[in-house]
Amino acid sequence: MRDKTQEELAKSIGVSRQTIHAIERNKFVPSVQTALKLADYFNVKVEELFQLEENK
Amino acid sequence: MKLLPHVFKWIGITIFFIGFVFGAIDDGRKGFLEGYNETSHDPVKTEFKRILPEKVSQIADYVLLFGLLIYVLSKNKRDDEFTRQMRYEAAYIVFVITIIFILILFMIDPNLRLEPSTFIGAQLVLYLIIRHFRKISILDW
Repeated sequence: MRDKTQEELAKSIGVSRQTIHAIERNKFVPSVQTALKLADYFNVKVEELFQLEENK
Repeated sequence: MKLLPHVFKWIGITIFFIGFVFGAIDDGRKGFLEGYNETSHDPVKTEFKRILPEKVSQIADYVLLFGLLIYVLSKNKRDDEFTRQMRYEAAYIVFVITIIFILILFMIDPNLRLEPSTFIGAQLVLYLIIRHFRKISILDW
């Protein structure tokens, strides 16, 4: 993954740093739009960043 | 609907707390003493004496609500899906607590009536506290 700070990443995709922090800590499930922006930012598929939990 | 810049959030909350504190000085004490006198078995009732003129308490109610109006009409510093969810969750918890609180109060005293400004003021304070602690617990700060 790119070596970026949460602040830089948040700014790039138009969300707050708190949102990035909460996603990283697995405390918040982002919207499809934000997930797609993140995948686009890191140049990977959405499935590589997010997976369904096994028991769901 | 968010018409005012973010700085008004702080102005609004400051005005709100000024009204809240000045309103509580006499009205808060009065409510506490009335409750105490009703439940106390002591035949000598504690007499309520005002510290501030009654007009101050009345103005404090207006100030409190005016501050609240400025607060809700001001833009948030950060506004994205996560912060919106935090606000929604905090408001929902306040709503549930309010219903439970009123149910309990009515069980204790069916004739009890709450002042709208006291009620809405307490709701905002509770909302701010819950939102703060939700943020801390989710972000682990």
